[in-house]
Amino acid sequence: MTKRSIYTVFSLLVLCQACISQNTEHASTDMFQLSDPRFQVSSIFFDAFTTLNFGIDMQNSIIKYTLDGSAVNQNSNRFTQPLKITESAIIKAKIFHPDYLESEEVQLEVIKITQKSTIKQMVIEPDPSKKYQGMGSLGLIDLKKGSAQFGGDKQWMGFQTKKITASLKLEKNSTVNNIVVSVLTNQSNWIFAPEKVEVYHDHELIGEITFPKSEKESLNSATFLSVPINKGVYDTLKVVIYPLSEIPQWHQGKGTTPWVFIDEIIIQ
Amino acid sequence: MERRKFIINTAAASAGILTYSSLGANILEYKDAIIGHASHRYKIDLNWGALNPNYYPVNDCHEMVQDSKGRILLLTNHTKNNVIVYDRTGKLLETWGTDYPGAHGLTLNIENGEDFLYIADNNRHEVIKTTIDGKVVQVFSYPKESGKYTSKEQYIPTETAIAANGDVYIADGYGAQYIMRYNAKGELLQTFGGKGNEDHLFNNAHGICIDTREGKEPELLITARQQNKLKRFTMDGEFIASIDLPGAFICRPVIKGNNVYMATIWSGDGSDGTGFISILDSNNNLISAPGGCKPLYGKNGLEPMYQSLKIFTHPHDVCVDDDENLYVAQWNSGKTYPIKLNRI
Repeated sequence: MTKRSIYTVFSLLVLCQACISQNTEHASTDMFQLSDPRFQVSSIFFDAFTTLNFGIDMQNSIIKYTLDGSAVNQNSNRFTQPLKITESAIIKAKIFHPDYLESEEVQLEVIKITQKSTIKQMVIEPDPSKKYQGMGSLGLIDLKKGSAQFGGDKQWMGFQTKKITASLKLEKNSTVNNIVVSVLTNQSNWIFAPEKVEVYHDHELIGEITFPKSEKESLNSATFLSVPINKGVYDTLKVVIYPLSEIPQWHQGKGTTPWVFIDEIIIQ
Repeated sequence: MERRKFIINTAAASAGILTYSSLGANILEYKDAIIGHASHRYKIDLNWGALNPNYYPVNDCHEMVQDSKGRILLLTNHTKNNVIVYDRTGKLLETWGTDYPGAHGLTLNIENGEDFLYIADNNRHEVIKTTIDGKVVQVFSYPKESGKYTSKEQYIPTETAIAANGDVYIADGYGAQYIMRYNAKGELLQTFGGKGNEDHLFNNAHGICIDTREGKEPELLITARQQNKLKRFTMDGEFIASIDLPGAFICRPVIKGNNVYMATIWSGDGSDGTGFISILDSNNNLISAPGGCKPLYGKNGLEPMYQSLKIFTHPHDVCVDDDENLYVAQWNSGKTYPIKLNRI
């Protein structure tokens, strides 16, 4: 009899415990995703090398990466120590953890500058917005990257216009085979990458690139528009930057003129 | 390993003599997620307070408070039910409020033994004082008499704090960044702050509260969210000091015991979806960041904070109950109901 009542109490307690567990059901680790890996590079633009590092917070997490722009998977290289990068690269990375869902893949482009800036003078038309004036045209050739937090960062020049023209005077005998226009993508703040860049020498089109990704929904990032140029020696160049004609339909600012933020124009 | 052992221990402890839970956990290989650091760590209850959105819809869940009866009140800017009242288990008790399209700040103050609410409404450009069941008793309309405003639209109050002497402080966090100080009758006594980067000015004075921890002279804690700072002021509006929280875009400070809790809506470079919770100790050091990285202090103070797990999207307020469990209301997070964090 005593034994039986002990069993009864026991089973009641088990039931209670089951009820309690149900009421305070806690979310398990496999429901949550790791946040994006955080890149740390010594410099986005470099002449000899740049050093890649990652901040790692979660114990037991592993970072995997690629340098050739290919997608990261379980077989990609594992990041174990700061890495010297000596060539231009598209770095992609992801965090993995035994308990939590793997992070999104993030991307960062680093650019090797083969020579000192050959731009002697630059005239920008029209003037940037009063709110985001940058440091004048010199700021676009100082090889200093603007930060993702663009507000108050003098590296960025912000425009809200249909067309931006940069007229460049180069050092004598400058050989040019590529031009990089460094811009910001931050669509939630209505900043979109341009959709097209054209480069002229004496009214002759010597290079162009279109960037259809501009109107797609994208994560905030530094964006580099790399324009291949008919290789040659040039003394003047005109870089014409076309923002998206209007903010696409999926965005709350649809139909209006987007912002374009430029921090650097680089001759390669 | 240590974490796992801890979970099992706590489960065993809660089950008393039974080890049913830990056995179950072993069989299912199911691990409760545990977030936060040091003394302030939590398990996550995603189901707390979830309601049928067809009947009890929410837009942004802006703020939450616990009333004298222990009930949890949620303020949302959905005018079908601006205030949703739950018991602590997350059961719906009642709803009220259809006149607060910009419902943003919710502060509870006990006056002569009675609970009153102060609702800061962004769209109405005013603060409305109500009884606990929603009867309007006082309206603090836009402070024209301050001389700082030429139209109502320039004033977008986000939060209210009430001093022991009855003075009411209102932060114009989305407007001109002034702090208005009224007496209980609603007469404007003083205006301080304003927009700017200097110590005594604000960039997004999003929250305000009164700090009397450890029996000290009352002082004001005011958020400067875009500056990633919590600023201390005297009750007369003199700047005392800033608490730097680099990388943490904090919402209002909420005091419980010796701690300050702050929903942190964004982190790092301010990208979308990067929120977490910040918890300060009595020295105003960040000691735990549920959903965020481990707070580390170096020679330059706190290392920049960032999100490490996607538990939260845009946390906007934290309510702390008597057992120090947290209820997290979120802005712009898919019209979801609050998330509860159970302290372990």
